[in-house]
Amino acid sequence: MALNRLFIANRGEIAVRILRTAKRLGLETVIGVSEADRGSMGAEMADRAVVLGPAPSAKSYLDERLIVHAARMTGCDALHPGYGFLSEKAKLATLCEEEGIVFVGPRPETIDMLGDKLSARTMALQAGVQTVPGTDHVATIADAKHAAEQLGYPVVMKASAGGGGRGMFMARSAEELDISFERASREAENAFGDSRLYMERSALPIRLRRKLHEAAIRITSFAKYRNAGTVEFLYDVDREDFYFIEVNSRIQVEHPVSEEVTGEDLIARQLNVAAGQGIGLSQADVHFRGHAIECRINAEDPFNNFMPAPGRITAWTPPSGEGIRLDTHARTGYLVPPFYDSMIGKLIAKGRDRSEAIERILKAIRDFRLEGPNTTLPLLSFVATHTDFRENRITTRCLEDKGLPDFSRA
Amino acid sequence: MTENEKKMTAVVKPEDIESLIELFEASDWDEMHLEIEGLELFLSSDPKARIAAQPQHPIATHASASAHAHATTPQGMGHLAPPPTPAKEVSSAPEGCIAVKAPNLGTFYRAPKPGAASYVELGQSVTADMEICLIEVMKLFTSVRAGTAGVIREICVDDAEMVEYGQTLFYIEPT
Repeated sequence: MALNRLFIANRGEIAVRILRTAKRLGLETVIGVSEADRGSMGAEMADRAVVLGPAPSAKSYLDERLIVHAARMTGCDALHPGYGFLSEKAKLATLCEEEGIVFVGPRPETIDMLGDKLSARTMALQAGVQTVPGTDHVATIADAKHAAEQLGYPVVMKASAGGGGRGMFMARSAEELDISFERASREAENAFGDSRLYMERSALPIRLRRKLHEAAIRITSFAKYRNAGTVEFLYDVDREDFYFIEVNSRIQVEHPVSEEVTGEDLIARQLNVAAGQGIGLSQADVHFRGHAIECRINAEDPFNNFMPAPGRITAWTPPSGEGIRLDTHARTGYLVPPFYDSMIGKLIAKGRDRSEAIERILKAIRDFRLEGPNTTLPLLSFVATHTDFRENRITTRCLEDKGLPDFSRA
Repeated sequence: MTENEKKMTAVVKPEDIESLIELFEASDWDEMHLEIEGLELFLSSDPKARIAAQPQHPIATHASASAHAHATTPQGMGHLAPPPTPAKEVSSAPEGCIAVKAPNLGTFYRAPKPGAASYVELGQSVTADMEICLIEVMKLFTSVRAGTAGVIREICVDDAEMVEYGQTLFYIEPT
């Protein structure tokens, strides 16, 4: 069952990324775009671009019916959802299955199960994997305070229907819980259409390779997981233990890091699996060499609360050099649209070790000539030179607590 | 053949277009106008020649780029496979006419159901709120209204063809 024609149901840099591999593999390609992305790099690269609807995502990239209709009518036999948008919504995967279009990703049941972060925790427990101590849905502020006292502050409140850090708030005391709770519920409702929250104890991240891998395998085997995904854990330095957080049941935004240290093409592996050819390699075939770092470059003003900064790119001279990779859909003259997320590219640097990777990415950030919209490049440069970063004394809170205050004073 | 099968066995492939252009350039012809299975190709040795057919949707502007045979490499070859929405024998946008555009991507139907009479025919008078076609997305049908009182001067899409958001479906000459 070889694939012939792939529909790309996404935009921006990931659409370009998928198209690059699809073309290399000899697949015909069709991309579904919004009106705003008619002239995009992805639309130019694909064999055919079809305009789904107007700019707003709800009327284009988030409408699975328009997408699958277009895929069917243009004769596509497979569909890649990219990340974000509908990639972690079972309805797109289900509709593809119903229409006989191969979905390049997990089965709809898997996406469903893992998409709800609470049911994912339950499943992890069933698979014998320790999860971050936490709660079921926390309905009221009184319940939240009670749970927090049991768990111990600081606690993190998360949207059950959320993920990837969205809809997340930290509370260090009952007072902070008071402030966050209502706002978190409302934001969860707006972002995901589901206001329910749950709570976890806050922990710090580090890596514990083998145990994590075994746990990840246990969860994915239990879920009969198909295709690519990422299992995320948190490591508590004090308790010296790790805890399952969630599974991203799609290609990871930061997949280039894995690709650079293994020499792999993960999109190609995804397409192989989707075509029924299997992944084509065993763990023993995968060799890790060197160290890679990825920076997301966003069209946002880091000096002004990361205010989105859409607009036309008037100068674009990307860095090049040993170990440098840039995944992007942007170029000179590109109008960064205001309708979608602000990421305009991912800059990746690979080196023999972390030190060399940092030197290379710092040089690349500094060599990058980008004019027009404000971007996070200045902040990335600042972080890459910061001693805490270089000496690997970093936590999920350090940007907020120390980094940004230092940056604004610099 | 199913719709899918039709689309996947495109009669004219990009390499065919390249051959045709080479053939034309090697000849002493002034003009070539070719219509095959949903593809309309117009080649002229006169760089000032206007393409007779109105591009059906923005992607088809690549077809007009190759209208000037002096262009040695046709632009955007990739866009010609699979074939865009079939171009009928239409003249350029009639003067003074208003375009009725597709409100979203979907399949265009001229009649309320298969075998029934079309909503409208060429030359028919319509009122602004008259239904003139259907757009179907995954079995859900929405009707498109004329939006302007006038006469149907052009029907730009064939029955059961996929249309894109913003694609011109009809031209109406307002009364």
